[in-house]
Amino acid sequence: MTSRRDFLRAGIAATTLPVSFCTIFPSMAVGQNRSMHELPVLYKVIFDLRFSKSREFGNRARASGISTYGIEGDITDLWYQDLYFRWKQGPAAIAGLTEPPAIFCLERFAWDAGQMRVVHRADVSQNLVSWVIEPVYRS
Amino acid sequence: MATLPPGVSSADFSTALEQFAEAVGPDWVFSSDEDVALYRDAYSPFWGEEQELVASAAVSPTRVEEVQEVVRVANQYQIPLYPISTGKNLGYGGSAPSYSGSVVVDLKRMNRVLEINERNASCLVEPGVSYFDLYRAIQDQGAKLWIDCPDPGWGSPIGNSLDHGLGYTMNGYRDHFDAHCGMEVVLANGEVLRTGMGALPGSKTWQEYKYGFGPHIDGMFSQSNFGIVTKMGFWLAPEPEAFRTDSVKVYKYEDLIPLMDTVSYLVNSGIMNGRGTFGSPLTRNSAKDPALEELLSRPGGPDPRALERYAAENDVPYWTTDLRFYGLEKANDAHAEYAREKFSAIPGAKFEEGPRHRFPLTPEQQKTADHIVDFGIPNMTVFSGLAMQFRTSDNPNFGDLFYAAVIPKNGEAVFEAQRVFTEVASEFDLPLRFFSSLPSTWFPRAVVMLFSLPVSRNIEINKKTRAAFQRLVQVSEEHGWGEYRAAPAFQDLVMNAYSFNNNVLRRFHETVKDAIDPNGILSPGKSGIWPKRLRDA
Ligand SMILES: Cc1cc2nc3c(=O)[nH]c(=O)nc-3n(C[C@H](O)[C@H](O)[C@H](O)COP(=O)(O)OP(=O)(O)OC[C@H]3O[C@@H](n4cnc5c(N)ncnc54)[C@H](O)[C@@H]3O)c2cc1C
Repeated sequence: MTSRRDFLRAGIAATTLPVSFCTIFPSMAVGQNRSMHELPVLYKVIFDLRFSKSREFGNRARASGISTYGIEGDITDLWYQDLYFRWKQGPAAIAGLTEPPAIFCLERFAWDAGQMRVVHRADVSQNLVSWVIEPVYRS
Repeated sequence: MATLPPGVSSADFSTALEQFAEAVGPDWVFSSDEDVALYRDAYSPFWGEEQELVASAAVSPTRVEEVQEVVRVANQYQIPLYPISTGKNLGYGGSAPSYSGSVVVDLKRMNRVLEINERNASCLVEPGVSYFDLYRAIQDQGAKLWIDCPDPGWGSPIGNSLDHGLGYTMNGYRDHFDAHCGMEVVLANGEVLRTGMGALPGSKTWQEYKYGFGPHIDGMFSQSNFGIVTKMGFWLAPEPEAFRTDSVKVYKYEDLIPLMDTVSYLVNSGIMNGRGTFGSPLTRNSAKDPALEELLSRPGGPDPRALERYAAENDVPYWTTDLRFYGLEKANDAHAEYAREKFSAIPGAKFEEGPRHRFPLTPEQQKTADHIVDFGIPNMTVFSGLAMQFRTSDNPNFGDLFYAAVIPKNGEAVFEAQRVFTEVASEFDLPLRFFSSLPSTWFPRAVVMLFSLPVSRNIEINKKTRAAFQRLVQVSEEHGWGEYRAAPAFQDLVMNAYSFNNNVLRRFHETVKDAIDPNGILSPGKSGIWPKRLRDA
C-alpha cells in the first residue's frame, strides 16, 4: 500500500502547489506546524461569492494557479456536478473559506466518498470559517 | 481507543476488529479516535457528557456476504452492532449508536442501484445509495421517473424509510416506508431473508407486489433492531405532465376548522394528490411588526381574538393553505376549480392561483423554483443560509433536536396542540411563536407537530432542551398524541408512552428480539427494545 509519505512525495514532485497553499493561507495556523512536504496538493479551493473576504481568498488561490469554485451558501452544485466525479476517481484535498454549514456538509461527503477528513478548521470572522479537507492514508 | 463495548475485554475486541478486517479489508475498519469521532451525532443533546451515545469502532462492508461475516464475528464476541445506511439522521440521532460502545456498520459502500424499472415505476437499491445517487441513476438512464426525497438529499431511501422518513411530492410516495416494496435482510444469526415476493426463488414480482404469502413482516424491520437491511425496493412516480399550486386565505380564527376539513376531503377523495400545507402570516415573519410581536409574545400565548382584530385591521388572513396538484394539466385545472368551489363555502375565503410548471423543469427553473424537493429533485439547500441554526463556534446554537408528535388532522386538534405546546414553551422559555406554528402535512390522515429544540456545545442549554423534550413527551402522552420518530437517547421514553395493556407492544418486541437475536447484538435499545441480557442488567 502507498504510504502517506510516498503519496505526498509523488504529489510534490508533480507540482509546486504547496507553495500556493502557503500563499492562500498566509496568516493561518494551518501550515505552521507542517513542513512543505506535508502540505497537501489542493484539487480545488472553495469560496463564497457573497462575502468579500471569501472572494479575496478565492482570488488569491486562483492567482496561485489553484482551481476554484464559488458557492452561494449552498453546496449542492459543488457536490453534485464536481466533487462527486472527482472523488469517484480517488481522494483529493480541498480547502475553503465558507460559512460553517458548507464545511459541515463537505466533511461528511468527504468521509463517505473516500477516506478524507477535515485537518484544519478555524473561525476567521463572525460567519466565516477556513478549513482544509485532506485524504487519510493508512500504511 | 476511547470506548469499548460494555462487557467485552480489550483482547476480545482487538481480535474481533482483526476478524472484521479480514471480512471487509483492513482499510474499512475504523478504530482510531479521529475516525470514530466522525460517527458522533453532531446534534447530540448530550454532546461531551458521559451519557453521549458513542461508537467504539466502525466497519464498512461492501457485499451481503461481508455483512453476514460481520454479524458472525459480533455474535462470537457479543459485540453490539449499529447499522446505518448513509448515517445522516441528524435531529434524530445522526450516525451514533443507540448503545454506547457499539460498532457502527456503515453500509455506505453498498451503493449500487440494482434496478430501475421504468415500465413499472420501481427500483431496487442497496443501503448506501443516497437520494442523489438514485436521482442521478434515473437521469443517466433517461427514465421519466421521479424520486420522492426529504429536504436534505444526502440521506438514503433505505435509511430514511427505515426511520419512517418523509418527503414532499405526491400522495402514496411521501411516506417512504409505505412506498417500499420488498426487502432483503441479514438476520442476527447471519441468515439472509427476503420479504414479500422475494421469498419465492426466481420471483418476477419482488418490486411489484408487497405481500407475498403469509404474514407481512416488513414493518418489523423499520425502527427496529431485528435485522440489517441490505436491499429494498421502492415505487417511483412516473413524471407528471404538469403542476399547479393555489392558495386559500381565510380571516377568522375558527376558519382553520373548515379549512383543514376541506383539505382533508380533497386529499382523501383523490382530488388533490399533493400536500396541502398550512400557514399563518400571524405566526411567521412577525418580528417585522412590533405590534404583532407584542401580541404574539403575550405570556401564556397569544389571544386569538386580538390576533383576529389585528388581521382585520391590517388586511392579512388569519390562516392560509397552499394546495398542490400534480398530473395532466387539464385534470389539474379541473381539480383546482372544484377545490375553489369547495373553499367558497367558508365565508370570506379568497382563492388565489399560484405558479404552474410543466415537466421536466429547465435548469433555470430548477434554480428559481421554490422548494424543489416538491418536484423530487434532491439538494442540500436546507443546510445553507438562514435555513439552519448554525453559527460560528462561539455561538451556542449549533443544531436541532426534533420533537415530532402525531396529532389528528383537524382544526380543533391543532388549537389544542398549540395551547398545550405553548404552555411548555413558556415553562422552558422557548420561543412561543415557534410553538404556535402549524403542523406538517406529510401524511394523508394525520399531521405532525414538529419542533426543533436548540442543541448546543453548551451543556446548560442542552440540559434545558432535554428537560423540555421530556416534558413534551409527557404532555403529548396525556393528550393521546405520540411521537412518530425520536433520537435514540429518547427512544425508551417515547416507547414507554406506547403503554396500552401494560406495555404489551414493547413486551411483544422483546419476545421477538430474544428469539431472533439471543446474543442481543443488533442495535440494543433501539426504539426502547433491549435484549434480555441488557434488560435484566
Ligand atoms: C435540516 C434537516 C432537515 C431534515 N428534513 C427531513 C425531511 O424532510 N424528511 C425526513 O424524513 N427527514 C428529514 N431530516 C432528518 C434526516 O436528516 C433524514 O431523515 C435522513 O434521510 C436520515 O438519514 P439517512 O437517510 O442517512 O438514514 P440513516 O441515518 O442511515 O438511518 C436512519 C436509522 O435507520 C436505521 N437503519 C439505517 N439503515 C439500516 C439498515 N440498512 N438496516 C437496519 N437499520 C438501518 C438506523 O438505526 C439509523 O439510525 C432532516 C434533518 C435535518 C437536520
